[in-house]
Amino acid sequence: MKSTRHTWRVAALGLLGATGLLAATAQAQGLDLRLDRLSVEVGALPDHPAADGLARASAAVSAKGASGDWSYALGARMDAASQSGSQHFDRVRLDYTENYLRWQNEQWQVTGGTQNVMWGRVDEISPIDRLSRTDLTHAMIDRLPERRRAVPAIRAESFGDKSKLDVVWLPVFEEAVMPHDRSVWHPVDTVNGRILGIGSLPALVGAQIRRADVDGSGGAGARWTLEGAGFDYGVSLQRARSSQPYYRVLPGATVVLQAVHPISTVLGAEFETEAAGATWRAEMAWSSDNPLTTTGLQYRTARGLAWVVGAEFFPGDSETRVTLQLAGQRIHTAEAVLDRTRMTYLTGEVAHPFAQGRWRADLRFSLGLNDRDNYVNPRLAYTGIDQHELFMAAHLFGGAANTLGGFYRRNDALTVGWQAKF
Amino acid sequence: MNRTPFNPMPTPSVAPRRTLLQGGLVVLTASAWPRWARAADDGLALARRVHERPDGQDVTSVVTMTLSQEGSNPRERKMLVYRANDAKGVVSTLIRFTAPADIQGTGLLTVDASDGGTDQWIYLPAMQRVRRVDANRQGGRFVNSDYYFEDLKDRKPAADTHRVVGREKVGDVLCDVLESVPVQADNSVYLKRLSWIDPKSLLPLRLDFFEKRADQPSKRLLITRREQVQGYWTVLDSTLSDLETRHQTRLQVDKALYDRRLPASLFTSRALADERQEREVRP
Repeated sequence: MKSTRHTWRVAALGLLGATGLLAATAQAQGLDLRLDRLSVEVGALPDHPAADGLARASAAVSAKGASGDWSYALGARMDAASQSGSQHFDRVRLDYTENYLRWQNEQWQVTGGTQNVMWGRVDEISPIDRLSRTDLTHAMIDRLPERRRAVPAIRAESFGDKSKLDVVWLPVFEEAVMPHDRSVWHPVDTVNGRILGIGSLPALVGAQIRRADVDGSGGAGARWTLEGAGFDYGVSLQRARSSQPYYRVLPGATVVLQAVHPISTVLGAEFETEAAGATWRAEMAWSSDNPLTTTGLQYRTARGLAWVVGAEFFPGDSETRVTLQLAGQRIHTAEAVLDRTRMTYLTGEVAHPFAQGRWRADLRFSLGLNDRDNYVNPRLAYTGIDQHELFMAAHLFGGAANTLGGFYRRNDALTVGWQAKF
Repeated sequence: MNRTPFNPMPTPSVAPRRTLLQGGLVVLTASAWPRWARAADDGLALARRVHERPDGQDVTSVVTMTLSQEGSNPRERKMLVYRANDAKGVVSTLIRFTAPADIQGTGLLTVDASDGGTDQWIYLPAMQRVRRVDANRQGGRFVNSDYYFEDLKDRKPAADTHRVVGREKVGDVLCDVLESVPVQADNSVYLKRLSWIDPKSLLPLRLDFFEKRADQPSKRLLITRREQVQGYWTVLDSTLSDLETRHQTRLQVDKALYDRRLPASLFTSRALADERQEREVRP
């Protein structure tokens, strides 16, 4: 399985190199070779016992071109990360972005290769977004588009007058992009015996983490969406594996945490409309197999329902944009489990541009409504230079031990950074 | 009376005969009325003439928007604006940003139905999602410019009470000064507008916007260059100034092409999300 992923990356990077040669020597129609993005961010972790600072840099390049009904994209990215303190690490990682060949006519579009597949309508937590590859390198502190990566897929899209049918097959499973094992953002803390979503499990101190089940297909899905007058909606059916791992506990002399990616059938519904001065978005997904760990450390799966209702509005018809989402998840099981089976959140963002858009003050947040689980992310950005953004931000966590905010409660961070798009 | 250079306002070189006849009839009838009533009637007639002047079945514009303020570096946005009218009275507009890179590819699709309803979708390349947005927004600056969302909409003459309040020169052109006050105060961010209408081109050469005080404008639009393109009067250069902050938004139409028979498929969410669909009709 490791070789499969390696092959995809090598293929993507090889294609990118070939594209560079093509750009230099050929006059393909509409070829567009560019450095897409550069970013640098450094931060302090004032509360963490084993890490005091972090730094990261990222760059992405791409080439796109078209001829007749055919088009292609080639792209790659490089991410470098460093963490200082007793839990120090450095890592440089190459990855593919979009590398595809596409054919299209008036009604159809067929795409083969690595591509972004991001279904859903709501911000931050999208219950029907199951086919994309998750980027967990910094947990949830990045915004949604940065937490999604391209995935190898064969995709056929059929366009009607107001409707669209989107069918996706993932021939190769690709797991989420995970943080370095020593990263403060890793969902398993084998030093203190903690795991994200469950909390403290003393048996996990010194546990080994092993990958499993990362061979085979990633699954498939179909989504049908329709635009109406003032009302858009859609339904979807997926049979797919979660790219995000679940850690199955294998007791023994040395406890092993096996990263599994259970396949699940997901039925989804979504809608989007405009009313009372706001844009309303909602999604609901029923899924057949949600992973759980019993109090006896047995692995189980159970049916579950996730939903989100969100609103986007501009208070006082001003430039301040507010998004609010009420999100919930319920997993149906009669067994005593360590996982949380009822979760309700209020998440959102307030984005306030000022000084004629040269500055922007943002506030993202996620608040647990049935358990104390808080994440607050104030951010101030200078955007007065086109294509560039300078920013400073804080990431503040708090909550019960079995929640996300509680798990990362020592990860409060202050960061400054720069990013540019070209 | 709220058409801005975003929808470059064309006027035929020779107004259709029916329009001329109707205009004459209005003047003749109004002469017997009290002066205030005549001013109002003239105002509505003028507003209608400005709004209803033929502007082609469709228009494609290549636009450069420059945002400037004393003491700050100017910022430039480039965009393509496609607008088409269909036989049912539906007006569709697609705006695609082509520069700078951080907003390149962003698209805004607006469909104004003949019954007054509006649907609007935005495509953000970073999200790779087409999302419905609130089409009823009035305030709020469009891409940090001095244009409010309301300024971009096709405001029907019936939405305001119109009155001709005099004649004044803008440059060398003697213009009719038209006052437009919203019939319903809550359907506009403005208390009123004053438009200096060039009787020849039927373009407002100057437009004052009154937001907080009815006796002091807050924004002023000045048209500095207009030409006939394919027989349609077209605004090629204009500047909208915030009179308080001195921030300015300049719109230069680098190219305008009319009646190209833009396909209906251009005004769909597929074309909004897939630049390639739209590139085929780029000028």
